[in-house]
Amino acid sequence: MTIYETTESGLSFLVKTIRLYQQPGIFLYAAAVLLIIAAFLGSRKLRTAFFWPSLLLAFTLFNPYLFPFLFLRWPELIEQYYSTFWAVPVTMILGASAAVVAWRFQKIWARTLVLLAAAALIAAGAVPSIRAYRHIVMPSNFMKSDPELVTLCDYIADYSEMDHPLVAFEREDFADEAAAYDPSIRISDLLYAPGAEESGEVGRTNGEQFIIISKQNKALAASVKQAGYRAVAHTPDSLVFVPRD
Amino acid sequence: MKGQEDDEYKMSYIAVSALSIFGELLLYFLIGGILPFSGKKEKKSLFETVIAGWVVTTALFEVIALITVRSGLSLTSFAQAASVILALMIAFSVVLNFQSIFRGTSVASGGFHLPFSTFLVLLAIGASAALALVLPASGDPGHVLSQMAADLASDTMAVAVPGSDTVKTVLTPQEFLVRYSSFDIFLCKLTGLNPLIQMRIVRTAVTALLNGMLIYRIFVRLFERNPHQGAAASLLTILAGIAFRTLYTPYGMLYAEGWSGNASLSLVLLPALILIVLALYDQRDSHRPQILLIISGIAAVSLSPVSLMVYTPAMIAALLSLAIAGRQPRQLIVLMLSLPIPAAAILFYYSAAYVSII
Repeated sequence: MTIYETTESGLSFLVKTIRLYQQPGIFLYAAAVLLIIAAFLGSRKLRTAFFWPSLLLAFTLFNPYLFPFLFLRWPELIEQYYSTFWAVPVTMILGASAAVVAWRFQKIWARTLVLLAAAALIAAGAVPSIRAYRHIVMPSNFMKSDPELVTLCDYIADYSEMDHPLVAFEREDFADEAAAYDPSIRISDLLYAPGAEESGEVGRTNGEQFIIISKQNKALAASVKQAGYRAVAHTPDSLVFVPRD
Repeated sequence: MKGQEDDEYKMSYIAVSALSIFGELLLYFLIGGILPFSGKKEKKSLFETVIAGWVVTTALFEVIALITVRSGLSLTSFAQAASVILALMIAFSVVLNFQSIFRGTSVASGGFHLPFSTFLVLLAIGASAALALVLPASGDPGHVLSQMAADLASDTMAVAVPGSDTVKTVLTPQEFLVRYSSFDIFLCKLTGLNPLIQMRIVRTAVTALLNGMLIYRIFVRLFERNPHQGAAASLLTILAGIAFRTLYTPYGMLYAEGWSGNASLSLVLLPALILIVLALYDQRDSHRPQILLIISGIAAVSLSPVSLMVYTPAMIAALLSLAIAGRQPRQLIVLMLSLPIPAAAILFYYSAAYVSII
């Protein structure tokens, strides 16, 4: 969004930010309503912790007519504007305000009813999230490694004849992360011929069991073949070489 | 072969992660002994001591990171300096709190009693932290949140190679220091751990646990006369946190990139500001919350590029709120002085790392 658009539509920018980045919106609106109620029913301490800071921020940081001028000098920060909502502890306001309203009732059953109603409101707002929880499983790729790397490491594990295969990766990031994904892999550096790093000519090898290079790097592939390796497998982006003998 | 390695690796990963979480929280507890929330004569809270330790440690690392970025020091030098300073602070804290640590008077006085409502809250904190670890990388690859989490992870991945002087990363070292709290680099250098474990998994757990501690302590202070009311508020808050998680809400950050500075800012530092406000409200004669307020502003420096935009207004709003509550003018002036320090530090830091912003 350009600065021009922001200053033209401060209010609609604010509404768009809430719609895009503060969903489900029911939490924000419920927190606002409950906070106003709790401000009248609650203690001075609660007003100091939640009500006055939220009100002050509402009139400044979230003021649709003021905030465009606050951020006009830093257009990159406009794109991060959603972060300003972190200054308002929506979930804490919900919890605190619901507790204040509940404890206005002396009877235990009435208090419990209010708390359950608050929990039901939260759960209703969480319905889209609850659907996602049905898929909770312990992830196999818990370190969120590149899927290409995961495929390569799994292939090496399945087809290696050694417990700790020596592997060279052309990509440095793969070399760094492979041992983290599979600690049985020992990493070797590709040894380029002197002055041949750009041309990709391999000088000699360290006796690697696997050499993984990019499919795009045909010069390196030819060089690896010349060094006594043959291609045995491939992924969308990589070729897997093993010694010819 | 792979199956056996896989099981052994998972076990060692779990053990190392658990030790790292415990070690990190223990470190914060020891550092927090230097500057706890409570005055000398008041009963100290274990959770508040850990939180105070986090604030002080993070601020320390931001200062070191600021010096490192401006001076171009290597990460090894940075880690060595940080480890020496941390060790000195821990020793100072142990000496300062010798009696209470070894006699246990500040942590447990006259036996251990855990009300059921408190137990429920602690259970909810643990469950929330566990969800933060399991949820993002699980499930159907087509799920939007998992995909976003994977994209974020691959975009911001960085690897520190133990024993080397530089960080092999897809980002420049300056961007690395900006995006990640420096404690991760320190532990990687010290232990030789693979930083992917520490930075992503342990850090997410620590952030979630600190957030839980903050929720608990804020409501204990807020509802000091009624612990059950505080427990009810805590449980509803934790439930709302699990539910309110689109990607750019604080809990969305926790589940997608819990190791990041954004998560630390939104889930730890900003709630810590609320706790500091409550401590200032409760202890009108004590200087400790005031000092913590100033230090918290420094802690915000490089947690996130949006620290200036978010934390400074939050501090201003908090201080004005205390003024409305009838805080004495002289003390407010002292507190107002805390504002230029973090604002100047943030601007100075980002003039080195992000020239385009200024």
